[in-house]
Amino acid sequence: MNSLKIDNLQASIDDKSILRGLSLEIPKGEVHAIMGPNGSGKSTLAKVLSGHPDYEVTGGTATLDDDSLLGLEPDEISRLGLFLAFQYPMEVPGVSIANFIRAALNARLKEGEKIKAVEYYKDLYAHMDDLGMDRKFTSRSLNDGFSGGEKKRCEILQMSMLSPKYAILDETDSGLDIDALRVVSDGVNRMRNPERGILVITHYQRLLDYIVPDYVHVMSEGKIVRTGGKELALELEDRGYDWIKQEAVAS
Amino acid sequence: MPPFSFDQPQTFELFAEGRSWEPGWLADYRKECWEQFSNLPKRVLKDERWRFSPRARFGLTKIDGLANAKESLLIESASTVDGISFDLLDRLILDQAHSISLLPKISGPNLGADDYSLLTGAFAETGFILRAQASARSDDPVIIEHREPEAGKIAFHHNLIELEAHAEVTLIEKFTAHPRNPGGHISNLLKVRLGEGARLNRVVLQECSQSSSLVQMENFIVGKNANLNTVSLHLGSGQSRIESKGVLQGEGANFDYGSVYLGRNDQLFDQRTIQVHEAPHCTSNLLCKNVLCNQSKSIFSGLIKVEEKAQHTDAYQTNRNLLLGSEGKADSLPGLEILANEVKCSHGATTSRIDPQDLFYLQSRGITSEKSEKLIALGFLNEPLMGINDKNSREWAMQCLESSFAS
Ligand SMILES: Nc1ncnc2c1ncn2[C@@H]1O[C@H](COP(=O)(O)OP(=O)(O)OP(=O)(O)O)[C@@H](O)[C@H]1O
Ligand SMILES: [Mg+2]
Repeated sequence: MNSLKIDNLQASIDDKSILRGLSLEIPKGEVHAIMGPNGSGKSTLAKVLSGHPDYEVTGGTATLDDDSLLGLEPDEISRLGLFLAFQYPMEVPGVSIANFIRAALNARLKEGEKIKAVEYYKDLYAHMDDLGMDRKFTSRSLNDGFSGGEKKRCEILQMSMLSPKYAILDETDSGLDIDALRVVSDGVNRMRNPERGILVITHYQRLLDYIVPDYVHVMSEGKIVRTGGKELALELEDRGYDWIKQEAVAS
Repeated sequence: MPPFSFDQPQTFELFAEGRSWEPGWLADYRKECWEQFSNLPKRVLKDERWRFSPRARFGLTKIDGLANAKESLLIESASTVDGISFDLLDRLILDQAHSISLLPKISGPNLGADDYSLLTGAFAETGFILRAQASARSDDPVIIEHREPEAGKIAFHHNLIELEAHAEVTLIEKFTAHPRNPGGHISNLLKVRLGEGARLNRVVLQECSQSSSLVQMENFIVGKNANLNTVSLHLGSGQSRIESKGVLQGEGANFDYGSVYLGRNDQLFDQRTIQVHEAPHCTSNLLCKNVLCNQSKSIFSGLIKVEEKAQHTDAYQTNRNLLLGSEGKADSLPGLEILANEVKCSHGATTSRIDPQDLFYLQSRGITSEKSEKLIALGFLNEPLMGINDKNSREWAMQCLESSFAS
């Protein structure tokens, strides 16, 4: 099976249920967008899929191609091929971006394989150039003192270096200025290919002008309540979320 | 023969007999140190200078003899620059005794380990002597190796650094483990005096065995507009006691002190520091970072002392500890004593654990939790190493830390 498939997923934190039977399938080659009100559980979905230890999965399934994700360690999930670009990336003083990404690549090597430093840096610099990142960043501590936009670029840099099978971008557009939005979107678009599935979480239909999705889903109270094409995003921009919530309650 | 013991007068008498060829002033100095040692109160119930420390781990009764001085200290890289001499005490005593005449005149840091300090004065047969004449400068570091002696033996090293005006030297000190029979003791006493405008860059890498003991006593006297930069990386030793004193003696002097400690198993790191500001317009900056794994333990006790005449002082003292796992322990006692009124001073101490959200972030990139913790801890310890002036030494120190973590 070539998809990231979520079926009737239920998850809670401190006995508070947040995901309430969420189903979604992202086949390879497609870009899906999730929109939804604050607190509806979008980031929770991303974290649960990534194996965050704070959440308790109480039901449902989530599979990446043929592997079940639930119950795995975050690093195992990452090595299976899922990447999460964080809404709020952590700051890690003293760990340089270059060392960090190298450690992540190292973790994917087979016994006896080694990364060649020269090739690694060549590759890293090429990706940084694409994202308009100054090469000085390689030696800076990971996200430490970065501006909001710099952090988001750094997430996309990691994604492009790790080349995952599936990527979830949690509000990667928020905090970006107009130029950065274009650069980051171009970065994501370069990664679009038949072998990769992408899920973007966003509040702004503007992003979807740059990264044109195949499907748009609306999430509310821990569930997908509506699915449509790109025009659904435009409609949401116009009308807000209330009408969908009401329709969802009515049905 | 009775077993070796520092409680026996014969121990010193025998030693002194064997060194009757030494100049009289040195013999007198040894004798005086021995007598002061013998008169130390045998049992002190409450000594603030040893607060939190399981002092018995530094007990002298575990020692059963003196190390071979020829084997415990080696010059790895000498200086080829005119005006800079780097030699060993035992080679200087006979024909160049003047070059070591300063040794008895400078005191140790006197921060608690009086017994070790006095015994070093009495018994040290070796030590490195680094001296630079006015304006002598060397770009290449001089390198010394302190070797852990075999199990049960103690090596006493009495060292001196004396830089005259505007001299500039970089020194690397390595402490290495005994290769076959670890478990030795090192008592290392270092006295440093920097003349006007002189600069000393010093890097210490300590990789003694887990069964060894180290007592390291340092007294840095920094003259007018002189710069002292010292960064120590402590990776080994079952128990180490570090006493460091920085004296800002001349106007405009600067003292930078960094230390990094990576504790494992049941290692103990007991560090006492004092920054004494005697002159105005001086700065001192101290940053000590410790990572405690397993049941390892660290103690930091530091004091900034600003004397009345030391106006316009900038003095900082920071101790940060990171506990990895649940059994490590860090005690911290920062302190200030300020008698001048125009000063900028701060001190701070924190002890923390790895934030689970940070751990999740690293793991989400495919890095195992164990490796992620190491990366975070390595990053945490990076900061004091960034203070190493010499670029090559800095990279070397970072590599040493990294490979120590990997093992
Ligand atoms: N660690 C936590 N502890 C307690 N409650 C939490 C925790 N994490 C999330 N929640 C709650 O779960 C709900 C969903 O949060 P989540 O961050 O997934 O929303 P979101 O859809 O991403 O919102 P936003 O659009 O604001 O980013 C919220 O009510 C939030 O307060
Ligand atoms: Mg969110």
